[in-house]
Amino acid sequence: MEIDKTVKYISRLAKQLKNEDSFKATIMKKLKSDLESSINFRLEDITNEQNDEATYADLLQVNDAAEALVNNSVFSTDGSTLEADRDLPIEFAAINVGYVNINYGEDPKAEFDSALSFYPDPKIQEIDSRVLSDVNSMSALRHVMEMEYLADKMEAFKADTIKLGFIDGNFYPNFALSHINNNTLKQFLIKRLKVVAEKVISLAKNKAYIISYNSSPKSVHITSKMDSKISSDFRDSEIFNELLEDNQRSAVFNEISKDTDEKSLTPVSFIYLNNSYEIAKIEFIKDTIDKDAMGKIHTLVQSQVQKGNGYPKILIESHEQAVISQSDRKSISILTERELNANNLKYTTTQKYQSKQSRNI
Amino acid sequence: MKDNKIIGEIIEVSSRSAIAQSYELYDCPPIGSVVKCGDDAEDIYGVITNIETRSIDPGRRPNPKGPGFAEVNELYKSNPEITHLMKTEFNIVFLGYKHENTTTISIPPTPPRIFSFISTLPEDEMINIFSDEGLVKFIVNSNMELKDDVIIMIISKYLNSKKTKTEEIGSFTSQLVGALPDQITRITNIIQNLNLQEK
Repeated sequence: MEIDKTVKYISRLAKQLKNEDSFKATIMKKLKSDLESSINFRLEDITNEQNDEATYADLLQVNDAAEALVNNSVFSTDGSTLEADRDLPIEFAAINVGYVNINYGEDPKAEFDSALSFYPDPKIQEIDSRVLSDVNSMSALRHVMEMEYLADKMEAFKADTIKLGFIDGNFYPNFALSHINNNTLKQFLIKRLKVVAEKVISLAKNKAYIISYNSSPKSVHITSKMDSKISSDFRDSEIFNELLEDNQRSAVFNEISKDTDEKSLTPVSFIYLNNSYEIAKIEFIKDTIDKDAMGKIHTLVQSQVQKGNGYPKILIESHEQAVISQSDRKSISILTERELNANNLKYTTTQKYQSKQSRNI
Repeated sequence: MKDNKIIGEIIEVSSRSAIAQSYELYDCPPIGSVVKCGDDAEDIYGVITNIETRSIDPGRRPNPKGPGFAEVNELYKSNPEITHLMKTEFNIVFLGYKHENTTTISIPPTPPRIFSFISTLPEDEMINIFSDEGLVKFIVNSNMELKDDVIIMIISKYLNSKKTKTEEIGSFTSQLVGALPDQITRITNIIQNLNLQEK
């Protein structure tokens, strides 16, 4: 590869970014006064906590965290996929969901667990061999499994303290769902998401809340609806980085659904918060968290972010629990070969795969 | 720590020594303790020569959790996941084995199997091993880490289990003189550093 050419290309991109940043900084300097001068500007298809159409006045609202909570329990699941290898004579995929629960306060303890599933699974007809190598299908399936596992574990956990479950990224796997071409699978996953959403609503009635946590999100829910003179290609996080002080959160916003398959899901609300390291987006099922509970959740999120030096500790640990490492992948490959040989099946990969392994001159 | 309590399993083993991992973080007898590496076929005895506690994942080094804690216990309470993410391993150097009720001070003819249980030693078995005059010589001639420290700790531990110590000190001194000829300074250092407690 020609490194000189690459360096020149990256250097040009960096200069371009510097110019854009300088332009954005100029707009940001007067953001607050621009918003205050058009306080009634309506954000189309965005509603506030009162279900009224949101305005710039809602963007200017800030909230602080509640007082520290001594006794609390946090939960998280995260998943990892072993994609089907088309070079192997048997085609299968695996999803490993890692789970962690940490209880703070008078009875401090933790629980680590994981669940490994293999596909195709004769009990689940919707996930056939064509699905296994489709990244979006497997990603959406993994997300659904993470949510189900988290909700089940939290449901089984009995304690009087506040319970907060974290999902990594967005609340629903909207991007992956919207890119699934197999409609049967898509409907199957949406149905499972609707079931888990009902469970999340039920849990919230017992002080067990489930939120998703998105680190430095690229979302444009708000900025795409703002006056183009102000927003001009900003992300929501850039706007809220200017509006929120350290440890402050925004008001609650809801995006009005468009008529697509994935928008038929139980609606979610979102807030942004400045966790003193970065802007994060938190999503949750609409009307499951009131202002008082949100104050407490804000406190727990901040505490987790502090413990994780910038990212919630519970999400770090569930990710570690989920990861299918390179050595695990190698072991699976060796086991596959051994099993095939034990069954007197000739183990042959494609010639392309073999050529990549040997790399002879 | 209770006698005969199974505290962990061997995770790496060779003819002379083994590495074991305790079931619970820090649940390992102190250096110099004699433990039993139970195998179904025979009991193998070894002495703990080194204890290590570290991350279960070699790729994840622990980061300090403070400042802000007044006590270490407080730090542990605030981070209950620590005990799941760390492990305690300890090195055992084999001292002898029991076959058909006869204890022999030597490396075992075959090392214990991987995942053999490690248990603490009942006092009668400990006395039986220490009554063998070849023990001190065997340790002195071994290539274990912290050799003199281990000798000091192992003798101290044994003597502290006895009501009267004078006679045994004399016996161990004789054994040391036999095992370390012309090394008076070293022997004196070992004897002076014994940590003896009154019963």
